[in-house]
Amino acid sequence: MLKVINLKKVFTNEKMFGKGKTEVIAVAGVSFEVKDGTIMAIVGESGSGKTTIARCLAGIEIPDEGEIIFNNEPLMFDTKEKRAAVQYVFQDTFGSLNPRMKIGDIIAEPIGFHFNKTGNELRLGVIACLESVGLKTEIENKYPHELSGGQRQRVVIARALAMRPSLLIADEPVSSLDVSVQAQILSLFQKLNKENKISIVFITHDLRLVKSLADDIIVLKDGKIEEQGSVENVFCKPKSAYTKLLLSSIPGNPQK
Amino acid sequence: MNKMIMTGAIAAVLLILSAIAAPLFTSYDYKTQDISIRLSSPDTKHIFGTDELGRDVFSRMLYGARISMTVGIIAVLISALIGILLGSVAGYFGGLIDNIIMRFVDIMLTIPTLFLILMLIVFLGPSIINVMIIIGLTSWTDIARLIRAEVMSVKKLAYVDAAKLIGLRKRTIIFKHIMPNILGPIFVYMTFGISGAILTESGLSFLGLGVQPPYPSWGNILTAGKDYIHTAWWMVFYPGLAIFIAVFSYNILGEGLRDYFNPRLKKENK
Amino acid sequence: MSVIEIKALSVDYKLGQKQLLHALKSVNLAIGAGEALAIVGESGCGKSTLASSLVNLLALNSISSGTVLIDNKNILEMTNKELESVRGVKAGTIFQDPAASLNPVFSVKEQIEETIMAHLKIKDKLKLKEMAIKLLEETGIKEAQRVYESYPHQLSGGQQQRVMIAIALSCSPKILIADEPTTALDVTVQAQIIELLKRLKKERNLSLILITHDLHLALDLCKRVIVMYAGEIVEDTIMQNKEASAHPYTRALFEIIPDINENKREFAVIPGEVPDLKMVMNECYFKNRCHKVGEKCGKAHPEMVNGVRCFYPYTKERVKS
Repeated sequence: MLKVINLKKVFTNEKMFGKGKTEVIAVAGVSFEVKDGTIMAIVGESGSGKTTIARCLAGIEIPDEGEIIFNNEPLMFDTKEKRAAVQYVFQDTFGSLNPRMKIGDIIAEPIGFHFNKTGNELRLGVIACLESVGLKTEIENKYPHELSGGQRQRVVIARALAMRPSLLIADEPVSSLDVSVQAQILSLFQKLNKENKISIVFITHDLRLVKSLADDIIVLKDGKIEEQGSVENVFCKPKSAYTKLLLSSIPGNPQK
Repeated sequence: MNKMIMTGAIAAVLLILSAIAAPLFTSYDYKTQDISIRLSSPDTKHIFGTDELGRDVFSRMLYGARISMTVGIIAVLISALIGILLGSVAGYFGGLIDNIIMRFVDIMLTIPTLFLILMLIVFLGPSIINVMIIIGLTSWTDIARLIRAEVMSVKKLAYVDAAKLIGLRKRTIIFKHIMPNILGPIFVYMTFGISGAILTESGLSFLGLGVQPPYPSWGNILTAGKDYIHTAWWMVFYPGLAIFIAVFSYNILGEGLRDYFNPRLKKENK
Repeated sequence: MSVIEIKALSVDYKLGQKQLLHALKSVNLAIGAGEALAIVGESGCGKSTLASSLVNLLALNSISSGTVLIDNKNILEMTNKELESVRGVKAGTIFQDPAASLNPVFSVKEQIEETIMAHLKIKDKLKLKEMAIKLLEETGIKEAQRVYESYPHQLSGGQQQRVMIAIALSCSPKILIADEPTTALDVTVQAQIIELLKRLKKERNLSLILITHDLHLALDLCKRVIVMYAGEIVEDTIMQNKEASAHPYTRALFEIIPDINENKREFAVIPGEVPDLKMVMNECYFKNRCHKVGEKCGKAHPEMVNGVRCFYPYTKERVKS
């Protein structure tokens, strides 16, 4: 369903009068495939390029080189349908919700825009959306700052799901959450994948989650792929020294 | 709502109301001269006394309030409009557009404001409208830079990205998502701006370049009074007091608003 | 002989006019010399408040009662002057985000030496430099001289944290409090810092208090684990793995952290949410989310018995059968 070919992205910081640019090669030529209905984990430490790749996939960032093929077409967001098909879950739950909008309005915005619903029909759509992520309908009148971290993360997911995407890109969606809340959100992702058949690209630095959640994995370092394959293969028979280092760094891992 | 906002707001509203309802509070108008009672001290008929031409100072103060406040508010609206427009465009689009606008701002800043105002007044002639426009045209640089900075920081926030992910048009994003979140500083600027404009107008009138007779403004009542400080203190005292109260209350309102808009956003962070 | 002894420590935070947030409810804890202990819990459990009370850095809107004895002196009753001889000297602290804890306008040299000068009253520049470089090397920094002269923003996250540890240990305290020291770091760096803490604890015979939300991390470093929930200690035992834990919440924490050795499975979940800390209840605070809930749980508030606060704890015999 998703094919990435030789993706490259460079960030330049220009000085005032053009004397000396500093270039940071965020992604240095990355290629991989995500099969329909699977969960792909992209794992790496800070600076590995994983967030940049995620943002390119979602269209928030434009790659400098390379192609992204989605459903056999080059990835573009020129129509509403195409925009709705690929959605993104932010790591920063607080920053990704407009602090002046009520939750109900935040969810209603994409539903209204994409499905032309209004009035009561729109409200029913919002309620259905909130319920699908396990939130109570009373939340629709609250503001983001009145919610807990776990609730906000669910709202961010609900907003993404409101557009009925077939591909969901989640950038470290549980990193800032408590363990018990993490478990609930991960369980939700599993449900979305199994029941709603949504393909998921899951960015994380925590390998423990990957084993239980993902089908395939990509290990990134300094903008390049160190290793990729099915989760089973990579975890049981890691080939790259870096992968082995990551696995042995997991706290409490008896593999040490 | 905190006490500062309340106090400032109440005082400001009272001033505006008294200006609007001027005819209700006084039976005299600002023009009527009666040389026989010139420079008479405050009494029951003329509670603020009379000026050098026998005009009732209280009435002149009330009608003058209309003019001073109108000048203040309109001047600020003009400068806010220019500043917000230029600032948002510079902040949102960045790059060359931003550079051009900011260099223009820099050039404006190199010219001393008062000097510029004086020049323009002399050139265009002093009148209430000119005063308003000129003050407006010369004081937009602060708000432009402020808005630019705000737009630049809000633009980077994740919820603007989220709006792009929905597929909303740029126009919708700017007006629905970015604007409301930078309203705070705009309100604050405007309240400080009003008091600044009132002071500037008073200063211009003091120099004889502001509102021209027979129209009253707090500044020109004060001006006329400067020659009679020892004999008719009320001509200097009351306008001075009024300017003080107006500037003070708008400033307090501004500070209260600033505190209201800032820490609230920070407190919301868990 | 306990180095730290906490008796009946309660901390409330004032919210607005009338409400109180009960952050810590009558906590009792004793820590011996050279002991490594981990305080594990999720947000709102009170672990950060507990860490703050150890060095009396509680917020201004807090009301505390009980005693925190370090070397038999009550920290909570000390004046600021007296506290100066505790902070850094008896107990060193390292915090979660080293970039935020290091002053960006002072070099590493200045920050380490300032601490030494303030507490140990050493003024000789050469001696100060010698001590500083030695500390940096002890914390595993390879180019000690270069780092010594650098500013925080020129260092990596791992180096910054090592500098923080060096500062914390500069006056040879017997206690080291590490509040989520690795949360902001990359996984590989995290492993290095944990190894460093293990080594330093051994070499200096420190009483190490690790505060974390990561149970596996806690077990990696410490044998004794204290689990907190809703402002109370619910378990205080020596444990290596799930089977050695007794409180249902601890067990649940083990369950929900995905095990790297198991294959893909459904994620286990603790249903519900953390209780409202504004309310004081005469029942078990974990009752509504507990998979072992029973009759007694709603009728009275359980006390700590044999290191567990539960009416129906797991016991090792039960597990075996």
